[in-house]
Amino acid sequence: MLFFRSEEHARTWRERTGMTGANVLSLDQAAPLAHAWYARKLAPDWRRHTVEEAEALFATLRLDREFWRLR
Amino acid sequence: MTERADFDREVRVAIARSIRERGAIPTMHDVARALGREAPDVDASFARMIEGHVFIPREGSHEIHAYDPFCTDPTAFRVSAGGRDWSAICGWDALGVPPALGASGTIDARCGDCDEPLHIVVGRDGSATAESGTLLQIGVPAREFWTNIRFT
Repeated sequence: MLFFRSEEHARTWRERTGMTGANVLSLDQAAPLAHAWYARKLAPDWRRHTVEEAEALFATLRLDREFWRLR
Repeated sequence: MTERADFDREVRVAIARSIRERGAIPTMHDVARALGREAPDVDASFARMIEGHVFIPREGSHEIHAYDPFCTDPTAFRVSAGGRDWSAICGWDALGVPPALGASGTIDARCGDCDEPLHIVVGRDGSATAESGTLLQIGVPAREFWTNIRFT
């Protein structure tokens, strides 16, 4: 899960590594995703997201449905 | 909640307290001492958490390598948040450090292609700003994340 300076740099990496199925997120998607995922990690009542909760979060952020499918 | 689940919760609270108050991910010994419990009990709790994907262990050990989004070792993803400096194992985790602390923060990392430095500012509200075009790329599909979490 790497940062890139631009889509061109991300594409060069995909071509060089052969990971052509990689998924690109803008910071407007990635930051809210990380916020929702980790905001409660240190809370006493933290628990892992259920599959349903995770899929709902991914859909809210309009992430690629096939790449972010969990089942 | 079962006795085992209650104890695992105590262990997670001790880990979180260490991160918040000392800026450090604790060892099993640290947690055992903090809780006044025997090391094997904490080891068993850590083992259950590993199985439940609560954290990433060091290879060949039950000790914590990354209590996501926080990593024990220095990495290329440096985060400043909550008055301290942290390491994260990847870009997603780096973005997660400030919100885990309830703070804003900054990330210093490098482009995965050209290795040029990147600086990202993370707001308390879940926003992030950086040089135009900066993005996050994920190589492994979500359902395969834990197949090889270190590669992911």
